[in-house]
Amino acid sequence: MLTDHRFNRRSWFSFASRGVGSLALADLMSRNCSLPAGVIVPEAADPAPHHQPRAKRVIHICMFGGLSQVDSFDYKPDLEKLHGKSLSSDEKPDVFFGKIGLLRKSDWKFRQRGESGLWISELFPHLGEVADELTVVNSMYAETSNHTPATFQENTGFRLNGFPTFGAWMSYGMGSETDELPSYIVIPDTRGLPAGGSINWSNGFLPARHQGVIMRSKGTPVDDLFPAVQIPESREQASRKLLDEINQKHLAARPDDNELAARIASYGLAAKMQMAVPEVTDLSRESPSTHQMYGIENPATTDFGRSCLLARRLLEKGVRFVQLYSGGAFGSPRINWDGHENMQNNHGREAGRADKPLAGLIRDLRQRGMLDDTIVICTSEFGRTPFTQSASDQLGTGRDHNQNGFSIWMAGAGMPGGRTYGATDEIGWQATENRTSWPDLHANLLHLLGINHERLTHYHNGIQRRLTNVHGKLLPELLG
Amino acid sequence: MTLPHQALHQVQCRSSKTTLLMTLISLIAAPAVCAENPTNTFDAVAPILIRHCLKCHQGDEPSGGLRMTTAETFAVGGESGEPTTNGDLDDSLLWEQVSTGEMPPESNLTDSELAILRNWIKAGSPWRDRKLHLFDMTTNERAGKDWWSLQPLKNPTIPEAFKSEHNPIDAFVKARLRVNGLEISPSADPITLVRRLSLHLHGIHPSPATELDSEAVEQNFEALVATFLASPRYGERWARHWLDLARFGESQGFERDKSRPDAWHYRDWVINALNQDMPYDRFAQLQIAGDCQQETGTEGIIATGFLVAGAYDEVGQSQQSAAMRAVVRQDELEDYVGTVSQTFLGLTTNCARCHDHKFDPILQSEYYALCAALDGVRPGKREVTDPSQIAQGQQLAADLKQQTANVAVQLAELERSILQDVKKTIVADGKDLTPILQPIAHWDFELDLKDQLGNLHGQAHGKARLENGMLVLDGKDAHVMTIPLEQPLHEKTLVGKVRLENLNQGGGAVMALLGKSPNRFDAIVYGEREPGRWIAGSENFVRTQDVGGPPETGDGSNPQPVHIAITYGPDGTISLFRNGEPYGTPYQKPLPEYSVGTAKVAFGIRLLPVGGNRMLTGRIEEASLYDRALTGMEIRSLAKGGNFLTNEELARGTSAKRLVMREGLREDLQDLRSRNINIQKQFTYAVQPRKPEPTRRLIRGNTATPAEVVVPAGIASVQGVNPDFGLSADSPEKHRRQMLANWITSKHNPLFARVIVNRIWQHHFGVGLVRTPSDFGFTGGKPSHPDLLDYLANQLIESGWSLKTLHRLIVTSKTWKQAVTESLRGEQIDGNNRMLWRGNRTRLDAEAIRDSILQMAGQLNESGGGPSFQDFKTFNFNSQFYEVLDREGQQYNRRTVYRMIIRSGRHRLLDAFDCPDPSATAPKRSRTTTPLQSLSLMNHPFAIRMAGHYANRVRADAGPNPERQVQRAIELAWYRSPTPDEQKRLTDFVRDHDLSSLCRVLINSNEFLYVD
Repeated sequence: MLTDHRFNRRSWFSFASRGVGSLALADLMSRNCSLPAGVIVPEAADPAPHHQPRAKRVIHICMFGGLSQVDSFDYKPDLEKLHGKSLSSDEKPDVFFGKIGLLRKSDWKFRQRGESGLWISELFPHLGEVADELTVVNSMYAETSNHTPATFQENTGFRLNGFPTFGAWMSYGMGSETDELPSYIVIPDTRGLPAGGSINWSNGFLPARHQGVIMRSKGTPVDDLFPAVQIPESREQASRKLLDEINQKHLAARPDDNELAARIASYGLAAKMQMAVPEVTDLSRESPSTHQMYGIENPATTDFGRSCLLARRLLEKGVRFVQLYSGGAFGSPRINWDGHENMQNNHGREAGRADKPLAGLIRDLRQRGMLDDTIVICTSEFGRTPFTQSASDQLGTGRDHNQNGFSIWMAGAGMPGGRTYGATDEIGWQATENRTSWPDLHANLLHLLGINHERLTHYHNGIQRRLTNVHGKLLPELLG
Repeated sequence: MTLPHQALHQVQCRSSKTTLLMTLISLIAAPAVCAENPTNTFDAVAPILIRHCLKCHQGDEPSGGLRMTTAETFAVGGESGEPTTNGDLDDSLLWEQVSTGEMPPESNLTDSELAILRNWIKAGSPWRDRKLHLFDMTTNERAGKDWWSLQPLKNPTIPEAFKSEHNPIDAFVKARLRVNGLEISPSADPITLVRRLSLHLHGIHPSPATELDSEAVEQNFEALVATFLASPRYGERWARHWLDLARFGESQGFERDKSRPDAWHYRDWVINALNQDMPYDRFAQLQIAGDCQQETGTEGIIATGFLVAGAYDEVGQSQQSAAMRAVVRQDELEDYVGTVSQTFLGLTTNCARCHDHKFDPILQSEYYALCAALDGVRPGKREVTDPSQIAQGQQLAADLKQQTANVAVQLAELERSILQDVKKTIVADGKDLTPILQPIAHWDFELDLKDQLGNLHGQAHGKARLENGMLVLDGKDAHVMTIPLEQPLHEKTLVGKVRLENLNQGGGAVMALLGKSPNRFDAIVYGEREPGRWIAGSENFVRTQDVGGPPETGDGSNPQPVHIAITYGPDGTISLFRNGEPYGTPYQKPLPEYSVGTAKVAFGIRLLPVGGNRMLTGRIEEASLYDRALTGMEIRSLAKGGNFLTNEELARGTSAKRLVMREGLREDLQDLRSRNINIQKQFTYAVQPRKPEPTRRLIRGNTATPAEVVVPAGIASVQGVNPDFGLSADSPEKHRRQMLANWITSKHNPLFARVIVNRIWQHHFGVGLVRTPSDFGFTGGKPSHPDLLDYLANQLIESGWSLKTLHRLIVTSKTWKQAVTESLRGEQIDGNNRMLWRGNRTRLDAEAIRDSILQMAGQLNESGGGPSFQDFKTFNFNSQFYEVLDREGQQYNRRTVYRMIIRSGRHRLLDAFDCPDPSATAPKRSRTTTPLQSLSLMNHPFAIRMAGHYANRVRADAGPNPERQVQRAIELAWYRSPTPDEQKRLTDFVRDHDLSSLCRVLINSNEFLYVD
């Protein structure tokens, strides 16, 4: 009684995976493209590539809370000279907590690393070992020094709730190279979600399928992958078979409806995902030396190391965008980079968790030949002030938020490493040279992915919305 | 690049100066250029200037400094000089630029346009007394004032050929189809129609109670529609559509994401308003300005929850930087202005925050005029206790007070007369003492800390101890606390007899009455404010005065007992007595209440915690607590060593009847005093208006570059309504929103009616007559059936803005009833079914899926209204975090519209089926098909659990026979009987496996999830 529809179903995979209604399907059909099974085609009206891409996947490390540029990648010899002095500026800093203490030099020594001689502080000794892979942007600035709106801007270009994130746009504009896994995966810090939770990986006004899917490196990796209660395999198989049969019969009376067919196919895709997720999350399949490279054997680095390794395995499987959080919510004790009280304790601890795994990730991607077409990008929603958060005549130990100048780094995608782009003033407070905004950065990342940021759009309430809003300039010098 | 004549004919000349555009139209219609008439040449050239030049050459910062809007500015020219001189073509900069194709930069002029320009320049570039504006007309790049949606409603007549149609909708639709060689499809079968009706009007499958008899449905369809519209489920469904627009969430969003436990009042208000078929204009007015008029009461306040239903950046509003706070405020205003204008008018005015609208005729200053109208809007918690409830409570409280006073007077009179009786017997006994009625508690500290009269026994703390019939207190930690009071206490007397061992001490209390509410106390306190003097101590000295009594004297070597008493009269008079004599001057303070079960008596301590100057050093011989203010005579008697009456003395002195009466009155009084009239206050999350500040236009939307002051006003391009609110820049808050509401909801505002008609239509057909329900501007779309849209808009207004009437008209039309047919011809001519030649298949949305599953499983809790159910675990780690769970219990089985919507805690089953991000207004949901959806519906604990309930329900309905079980299970999911094939196949499945697996399959079946 059951007909074997497997072959027919496969031909529907490409439609199903678009995850759209019949209108878009009709549109797709009219373009008459034949697509290989196992790929999710983009949903955007004007999909990528718009030009020759240099990369096809992204891993984004979100250092949540605010990494201090002057303690990490933005070397300021003048700040050492001015240590303990007050800021001599006509401009009164407008900082988040309103306290402007004395200038403080970096708590970590800076050294020139690699052949390129890139300045990196001892906060990141292991990243220093891969300095020649890194492109550091020292001239970032943000629109706000309030964590959550700043994080929204980092991820969506806008300060507000309700806009799609970079990963959602990428999924929308590029589809995915696998139909076995979601195209956009978020790996939260094992200590907790960032403030705002899922707002940080929202699809905004894009269709819901472009929302980031949480995959945990500890505990249950993905929700609802398997039935909430144990069901015998034979019964499970029989149920699926019955469902398929019932749905096929329903479809037979409505042969023109692609959406119904797509829904049938989506159960096939779900089954593929059930196979793929346990496999991809099984880190024991990796060699001991790989584990070592990511610092997994060391308790201090094991959590973030596992997250990094999982991220690499996901990328390998064809996931478009993996976002890795280094840092969780704001609270006490702090579990992120928000070093208001004591930089040494705070940044020391956070870098201790992340440094080695990040270096391992870059090395591993390089040795597997994946770094050439992968963008690794590590950002913070803003930086920290070169002066301490204390009374005006005091040298405190912590630093406040700084939206005016901060550093991020990138690697891969054929970018020549060991370089810096842009600069801040002599104390590392305000970006002065080649000032780079979030939309600028987003536009350039999209460019590397073969996307013209002005062409990746989605109509929403009167506007062809873009990740870059009405901003974003290409920076050839940055991309190399 | 010619202007469509259609558009030109719609041009309306509203501005007093623009009287000549009509002339212009006639000229274009007759394009023979009358070169000899100078004004005519201008009329011909004006559209070219508007279309091709004004985009850059108008406004504050015209390109090249050249503003081509008036004769004067044109003549003056720009940075490169004058555009034309004396009609000399060769000398004309303008001609040089356009003839070489330099200008316009992004388009090319046609030959005829060039000819018109040439003639105009040669004619000396004459200009009428008119100011040109980019908004004067629609071009192929943007909308002008003549854009279709901004024009007044037309009064379309029903197409002649279909006049006989019972329902005018069908006439308009059929007319359009006939023009395109298509026909309407036959009606779907009655059962499908009921499923459709239920899904569209109630957002859930028909309840099993609904009669599904085909014939009955066919014959009584209109009655069935009426029943559906009268059901409260209608409001629950359509409120959900509205809440999508309102970006309604029950938490703040942003970093902290605090919950808004009172926001549900707004949700209930929407549901009730729709169920009552509140006129749509009033529905809108209340949401914009419901609190601006007294008579709208609490309902009006609740309705304003609409304006502030979105996310709120609490951290952003509390940051140190004023500059950054200003930016956050501007973001809030954009949210308010955008939501209001998109929801009610389909205008994306928020696109004009930084510059004039790129596509629609909306000036940047008009955006700020709307900001000015909404500048007083801020979110907050407002009390919405029902006024009748308040009045009732006040009446009850007054009655109670009166009753209490009456009983107190009776009691006092009775006691006076009892004492007179007793006095006689005492006199007869030869004693000359004042008879005193017993206190409520008395401690003699002879053998223990017990209350010698009642149950207020004390317990020693610290080093408190008894010695020689006295309580010894060390001034460090020694004190005594009793159990809580067993009767409420208002007026009272505290009496203590103490030996102070150190007269220099200060702050300790002989005796204290400690309340529960933060630190309330009344106590006999020594030396706290002035050395050596007594005061009636109280929290923060609220009932304390320095009364001017003499200080204690002596060297403390041989401490003498001091008898000290404080009376608190019913009128709040506080009097101190030392050794029976008045101590200082009495004074009056409000009398506090000490309640049963919480207040305690303490000795040796003023108030908790233990330590500091609160502790007394000394020995207490005895103490009493009276529930009345003793008289001076009574206190003098006590101080002289007299005692209160023993029970025997009392019994001897008066009749038993009187004593019984006294007990009765005392009990009554206690009972009355322990009654509390508590008015349960209700709060809602709504607009908490504040005084607006003058609004300035911000250049490029930047708070650092404010420009001119802007007054509250509407959008001038909207035809038929006056945008001038007649308000000044400092006008009161309420007037602003009231005027805005009036402007928006006017029946002459063409957008207001069109937009809501289109929204209703969209939810019945999947697509609106205009595809972009919140954008009736240039980037939106044009209506598929413009006449029908206006016809329905007029109908809505004529019906008194009754939405239910509109629903009834739609769902009783043949157009709506069409089956989902398949036709090659239809596909070829109109594949998207814009012309409505067939029905559209609907997938249940997230809420409908969850609600229908609950219903099918027999688990739906139909109780409506009230606080939202919270299916999550929450914890605070500086921010609020929410973990959404699958919770069991009736309270979680209510319809999804009653679920608390947390912005950071999204529900993965609902999200998988396209539940929108609650932070963004969602006029139209996307409808996706994904593997995660399938995984959720197969494996989510809710789905599995409900499959089990569903199976149990089927067993209960159908008994143990698998064939009958299959029959019932299919009926519940698909509203039909199984075919013989299905019957056999499914029964076999149930026999081989189990019923709940079948139920799980049915929950996942397309026949359940889609309605034809």
